[in-house]
Amino acid sequence: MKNYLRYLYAILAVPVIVLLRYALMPLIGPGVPYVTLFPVSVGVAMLAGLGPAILTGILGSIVVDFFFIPPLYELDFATVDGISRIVIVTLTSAFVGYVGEVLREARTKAEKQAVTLRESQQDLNRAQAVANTGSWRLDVQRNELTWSDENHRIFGIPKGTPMTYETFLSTIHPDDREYVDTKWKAGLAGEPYEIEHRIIVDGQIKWVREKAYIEFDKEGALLGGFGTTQDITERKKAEDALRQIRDDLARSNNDLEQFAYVASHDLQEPLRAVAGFVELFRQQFPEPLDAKKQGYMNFIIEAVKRMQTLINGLLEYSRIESRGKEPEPTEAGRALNIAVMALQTSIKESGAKIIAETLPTVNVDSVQMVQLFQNLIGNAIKFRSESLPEIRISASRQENDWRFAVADNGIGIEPEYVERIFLLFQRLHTRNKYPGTGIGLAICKKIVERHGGKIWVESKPGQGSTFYFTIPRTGDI
Amino acid sequence: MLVEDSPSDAALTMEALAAGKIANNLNHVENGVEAMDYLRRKGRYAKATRPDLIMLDLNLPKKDGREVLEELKTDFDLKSIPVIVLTTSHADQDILRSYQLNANCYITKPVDFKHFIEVVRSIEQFWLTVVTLPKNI
Repeated sequence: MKNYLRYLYAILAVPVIVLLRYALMPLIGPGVPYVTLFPVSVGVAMLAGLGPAILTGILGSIVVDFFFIPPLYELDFATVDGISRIVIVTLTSAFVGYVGEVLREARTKAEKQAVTLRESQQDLNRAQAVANTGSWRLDVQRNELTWSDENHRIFGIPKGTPMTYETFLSTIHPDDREYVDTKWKAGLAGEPYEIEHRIIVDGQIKWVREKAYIEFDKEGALLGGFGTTQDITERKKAEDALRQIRDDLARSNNDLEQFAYVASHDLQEPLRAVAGFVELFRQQFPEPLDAKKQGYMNFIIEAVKRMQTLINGLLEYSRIESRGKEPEPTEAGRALNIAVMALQTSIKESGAKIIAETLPTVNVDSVQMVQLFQNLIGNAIKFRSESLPEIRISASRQENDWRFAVADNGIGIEPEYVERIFLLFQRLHTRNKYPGTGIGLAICKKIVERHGGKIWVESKPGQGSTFYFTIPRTGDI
Repeated sequence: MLVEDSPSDAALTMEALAAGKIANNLNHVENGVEAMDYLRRKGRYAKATRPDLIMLDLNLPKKDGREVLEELKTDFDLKSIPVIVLTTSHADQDILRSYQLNANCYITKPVDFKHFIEVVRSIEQFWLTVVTLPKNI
């Protein structure tokens, strides 16, 4: 309340004092002239504070003296008697005013507290509604169960229903009832209480998650429990759906793996027969064969070998997913070393120089990392140019992933083919010039994409190519 | 004795052994039932001679090679005959199980024809010249 207003009230109170005293004249006569001053200054104190109350006291007592104390209608308060009367009255009304002020403060404080409490309560209710979590309290001695609004909503029992522990039990799915009861009794004995169970609401099954802490009084006697109930029906449904999908996927992968294995297996036998008998035929033919017939036989045998390589390649491709492991921290440098060791023969033959910069530790399937490096470096050696192959492997840290690069000085790739080469069975050269099945890069792509990364190439025909691939960074790796 | 259901693999095996000692004494059966009949000299195999060595494929029709292996190695009379498991499978379970059933050795048939021949010849080399076999009664 603004200051001028407070003192305005103080001043306006004075005529009120006078008028009220006049009004009481027929009832109590001229005695106790100050009788209305005190209540009014209390009123002023409660409305406007101590200062205004004192003002009212002073002005009021002067005016009452003027109007009601003989000699009437004379400002004669300047006598010792008069002034002492004013002082006494003012002090008394100040005291009364002070009491009023205290009362006023108490009332204001109480109002503020009530507002804060109401807001708190509202926030709590809103928070519970948003979190789909209700709270409850069980007084074990009196077997009284109290629920928050949200809890009533979750359990579908209207507010106001008298409730006990048995009320709660009755809402539980019959199959889960014993479990919950056992767990609760254990909770009362001190075990942690955190369970998930089903309840039945309007014939529907819901899943809830309960947590509680048990309260004991000062002597250690059991008082009851306070807890929360979270409606996790949606989460359970999602979990079930996810589990279903995961099972389907596992089964599908398994089928695929079996199929691939059996197919490749059973295909080997006729291939062995074809190559074998052609070879025997060649050896056992009575006269040496002419070049043309030798050529035919070579084609057959080469075809068989190629078929075997294709089958192995396809098998490897299909196993990337079905035999893929979960990513784990792997030193890329070590994977590179293993790959390089596997390529020793071609490295020696070609005189290739492998330069590796410092490589990080990344979250990958370590076996597949080796495969990746082996394929990329193998290609770099295979598609070399006239000069001695020089292959540089590096990694640079990006915002969300590590970007690896395998750079060579080989024959390069025309820009129009840079996307195509990652497809299955795509080759850019005839078999005579460069051997290969066209599966290697498709395998690299599958491995990289399985880890959530990307692979691409930048190249200049005649100058060399750099193959880039990314592996997502997780955690602080 | 060769227990092998694939005619082409059988022919190749016999070709590989043609130059060696076994060639004339190699008996070939095509499934597990015939294999046991032969070894037990049942029916038309009444006059069969006891083999010095058995090369056994695992995937056979009727009675499968794994069953044959088990029966062989639990038969008091027959368990002393060395059994070489020669099969296309390279599954870990098959390998482990074969050795658990007391196969004398396990060989995965090479995919490549030339290697196949080498392997077969080395089997002959090892088991018939290096190794000492029990005398047959």
